[in-house]
Amino acid sequence: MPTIALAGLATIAVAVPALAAPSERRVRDWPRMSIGFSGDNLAYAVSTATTITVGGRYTIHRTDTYRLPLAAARLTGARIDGMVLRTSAGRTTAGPIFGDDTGRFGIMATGQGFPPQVVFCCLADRRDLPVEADGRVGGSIAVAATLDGPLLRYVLRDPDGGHRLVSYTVSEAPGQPFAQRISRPLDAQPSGGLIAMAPGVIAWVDRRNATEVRVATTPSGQFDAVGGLTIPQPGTVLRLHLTRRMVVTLVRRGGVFQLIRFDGPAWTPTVVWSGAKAPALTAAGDRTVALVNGGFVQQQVPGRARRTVLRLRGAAAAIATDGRRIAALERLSTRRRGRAVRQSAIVVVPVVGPPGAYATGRPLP
Amino acid sequence: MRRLVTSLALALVAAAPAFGAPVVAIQDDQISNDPNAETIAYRVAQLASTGAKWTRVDIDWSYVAPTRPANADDPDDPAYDWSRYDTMLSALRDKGVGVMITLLGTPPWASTTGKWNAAPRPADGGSFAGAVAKRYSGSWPKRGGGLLPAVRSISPRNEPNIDLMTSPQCRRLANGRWVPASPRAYAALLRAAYPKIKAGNPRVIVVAGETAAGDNGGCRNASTTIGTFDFVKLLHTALGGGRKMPFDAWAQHMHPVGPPDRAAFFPSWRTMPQLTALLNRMHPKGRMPVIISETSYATTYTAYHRYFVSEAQQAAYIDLTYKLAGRQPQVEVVVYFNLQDHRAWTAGLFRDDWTAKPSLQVFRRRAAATALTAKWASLP
Repeated sequence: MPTIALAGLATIAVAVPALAAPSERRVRDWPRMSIGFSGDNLAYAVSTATTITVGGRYTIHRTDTYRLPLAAARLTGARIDGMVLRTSAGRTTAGPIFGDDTGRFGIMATGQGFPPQVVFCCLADRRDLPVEADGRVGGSIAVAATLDGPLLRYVLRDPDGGHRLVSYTVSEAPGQPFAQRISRPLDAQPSGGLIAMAPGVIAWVDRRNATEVRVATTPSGQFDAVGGLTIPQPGTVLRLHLTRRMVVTLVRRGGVFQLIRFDGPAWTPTVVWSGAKAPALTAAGDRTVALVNGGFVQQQVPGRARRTVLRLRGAAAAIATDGRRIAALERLSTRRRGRAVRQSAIVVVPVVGPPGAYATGRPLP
Repeated sequence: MRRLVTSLALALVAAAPAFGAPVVAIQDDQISNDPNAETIAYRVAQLASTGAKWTRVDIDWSYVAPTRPANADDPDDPAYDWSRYDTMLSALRDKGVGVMITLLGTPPWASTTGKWNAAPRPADGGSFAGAVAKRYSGSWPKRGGGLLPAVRSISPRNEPNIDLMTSPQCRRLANGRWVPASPRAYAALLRAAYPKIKAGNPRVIVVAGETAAGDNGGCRNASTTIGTFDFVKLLHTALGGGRKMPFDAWAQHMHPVGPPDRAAFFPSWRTMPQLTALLNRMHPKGRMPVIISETSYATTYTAYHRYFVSEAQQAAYIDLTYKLAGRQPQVEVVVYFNLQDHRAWTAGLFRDDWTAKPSLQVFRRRAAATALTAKWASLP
């Protein structure tokens, strides 16, 4: 793999906040949730437990997904119901949501007592499609997933420690294979879940070296991960995000944490943030980096200073960005008629001065 | 926890009473999808390896009769293509596995809408059921010599109370109100099918119902599921009330959301007495035989059921299912659904790669421990 030098590492200063009016929806209580953009929708998953008392007493754990229509960065229209996973196997914990520009999305539904269930939403008849679901103890486990044109691609970790790249056709177009599943070996040994996927690209931190990120491409029409390069890191990688042409890492070097973006095709490093305590949450979308820094949600786009886009009222539970918008999930404590009420607020704000989106051509590591 | 669940399952097997327990049956819902004889032989061998002596086979009417037969009562009408089912049923007989038949699907020519799930014209549906009864009566010649096998029961339609299988479920009145339509349509089908089936094979059991589980929420549109209890009551009314019905037994599907001893959605093992009370009003002796023709626990998420359990829970719950069924004296057969996982249904005893789940061992022990009653002891 070619190597990118860390020379010219620049640090971006924070800009003066100028906050846009957020658009928000609220969800009862503080359930485990995840959020992600999906075209002109914000998709989210809510995990809850329901105790059934009719007949015998028992608990059903569930993860429900929904979509909230968006007009630019405003939440509009009614909530659209999506898939409903119910289980007695163990507690559900929502799981990563991955969307694309067309409004489709997938979820890697996670929980205790069962491996992640990779589910695509939705087919033309609005039914969802379970893509990877293996209930065996010690079976293969999905560790990352993305929508990539007509494919849902994901990486499986096998019981023997090997990894596979799986390409699953979800196209319903005439003449296209509907449910073709092609699995190819992936020469990767990701360390502690440090693997990320985006359309056309996979990145991971290898167990053999936690101070570099490896990047390979998944070219259109092909089923193998090919080529690749190594991006050295100034310390141990703790988090990894990936978009079509950007790698974002949170690294620790001694007592200092750094959030660094590497923009392709030169993979030039830029320090977005650094400090003694890691930001609570980080995200990347297209060419935008988002982070929760103390009580603020901040953005950073190429060539611009980091700036605050949202002042949080409670603890942040999740953030996501698609490059043009940032969504945050806040846990709020309010009072109603003298009683304490817990709510989760889904808040969307526009990215200030959004960079032009990448062309949908293939990335070039 | 897993060890505890498994131990519990094995303890329940050991404690299971052998006498009076329902027939332990299993369905391979994928066997119909591949007409390849080698594939069928393999699947039948796998099915037989579970120890089940009975299975349920769905016959897709739209596959057998893609065009209208000139004489629909005649199984040898050239419009019929039975090849897939002849192969399958013969292979099952060769392995000593008895068959219960359920009909599903509607050919385009047999309904007004032409859709696969359309409620058929009763006369057409009745004639096809009669042709099935004749062909699989044990006396119909097999191509190449010998006789085709006999089946024990025939059910004229699968899941007549849900839109996925039968449409429409409800119809709109002039005043805009939606009312149930499927019970009356199903009643007409039963009336047409019963004499044809009995004419084809007087010994065969005519099974009604095959109802999918559903609550009783009332019609909201044409595709609203009619809850099981409502469906039974409305069917009884549509058939004129009383105790003389055009069927001999009732089949019910049960895919619980929750443990089998606790789930209370309609119907469930907890609410089974309510169901049998309704059914008994439809039986001359006040004791309707009941077949649970589908029950399952999926081990991963599927879009059709949306509920799943761990593989250890599946093993324990299947065992508990048969234990609970043994306490219901009118339940004669419990068909576990299905043999092998596939994308739409992952309740198999085998995974999609044919490796065994823990439930296979539990099922085998149950099947081995069950003494068949005289009615189900021998092949037809």
